[in-house]
Amino acid sequence: MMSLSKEQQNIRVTEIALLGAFALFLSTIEMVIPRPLPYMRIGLANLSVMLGLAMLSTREYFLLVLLKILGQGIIHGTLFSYVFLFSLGGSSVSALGMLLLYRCLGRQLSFIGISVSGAFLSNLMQITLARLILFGRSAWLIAPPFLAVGLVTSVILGLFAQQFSIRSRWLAAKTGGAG
Amino acid sequence: MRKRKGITAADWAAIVIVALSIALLSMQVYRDTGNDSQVVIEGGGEMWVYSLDTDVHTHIPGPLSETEVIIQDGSVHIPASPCRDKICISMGQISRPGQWIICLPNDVFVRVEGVEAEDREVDDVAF
Repeated sequence: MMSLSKEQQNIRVTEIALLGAFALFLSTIEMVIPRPLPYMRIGLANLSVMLGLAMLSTREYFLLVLLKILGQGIIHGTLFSYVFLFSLGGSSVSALGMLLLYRCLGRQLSFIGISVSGAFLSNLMQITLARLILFGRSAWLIAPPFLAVGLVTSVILGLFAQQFSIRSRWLAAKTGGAG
Repeated sequence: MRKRKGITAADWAAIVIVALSIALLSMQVYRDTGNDSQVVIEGGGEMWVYSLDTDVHTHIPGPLSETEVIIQDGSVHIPASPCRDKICISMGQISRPGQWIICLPNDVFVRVEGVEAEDREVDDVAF
C-alpha cells in the first residue's frame, strides 16, 4: 500500500489532471461502442479511477472521481438531467467502496476483485435510484441482466487493470517503485 | 505496489459473492412474474395501463369531473367519484383478470387484464 510523505501532502495537480483526462477519453471511446441495451455500460473510465487508487491519496482520489463524474456529465450531455443523478450516485458509492476495499483488503484483493465489487455497487445503486425516482418496483426486472453484464465487463476490466499495474513502469514510478 | 499475477483467492470470493447476489436477486425478482396483471383504465377518450403490482393513486377525467382510482397492494378500487349513485365505489376492490369496475355517469372503465392462473374455471371469471 502506498503512503504519502509529509512533503507530498499538497494535491498533485498533474497526476489528477492526467487521470481525469484519461477517464474522459475512455468515456468518449466508450460512446463509440454500440450498446445492446440503453443503460448497459462497460465503464471503461473506471480503469482510470482504479489507477487512481494506487497512485493518489484519499483527497486526490475523490477529486479525480468528482472530475470523472462532472466530465462524463458534460461529455454525455446529461449534466443537468436526472440521468446525472444516476451517474453521481453510482460513481460515488462505487468509488467509496473501492477505496475501502483497496485500503482494507488491498493485500488480498487484486484489481479484479476491486473492479467487480465497484461495478456491482455502482449498478446496485443505480437500480435503487431507478426504483426510487423513475420506474418503481419494475426497475428490479432489469436488475439481473444489468448486474450480470456488469459482472462480466468488470472482470475483464479488472484483468486489464491488473495486467497494466504489473507491467507499467510509469505506474511503478508513480507509486514509489517496486513492491 | 503489489505485483501479483492472475486472480487471487479474495478475487474469486468477490466474484462468487457478487454472482450469488445476482442469482438470489434474480430468483426474488422473477419468482412470481408469471401472473402479473395489468390495470387498464379508460376515461375521457383516453386509456391508461398500470401494473397491478405498482401502487398508484390517480384521477381520471370524465364528463362530470374526476374519478379517483387507487391501485394498492395488488387490487384496485374507486374511493371517490362525482357520479350520483356511487355504484363504482360500492363495487369494491377488484384484483383478478376479467374483473372490472365501471362508472357510467362519468364514463370511466377500470378493468384488470392478465394471464389467468391455470386452476381457474370459466365461471370464476364470469362470477
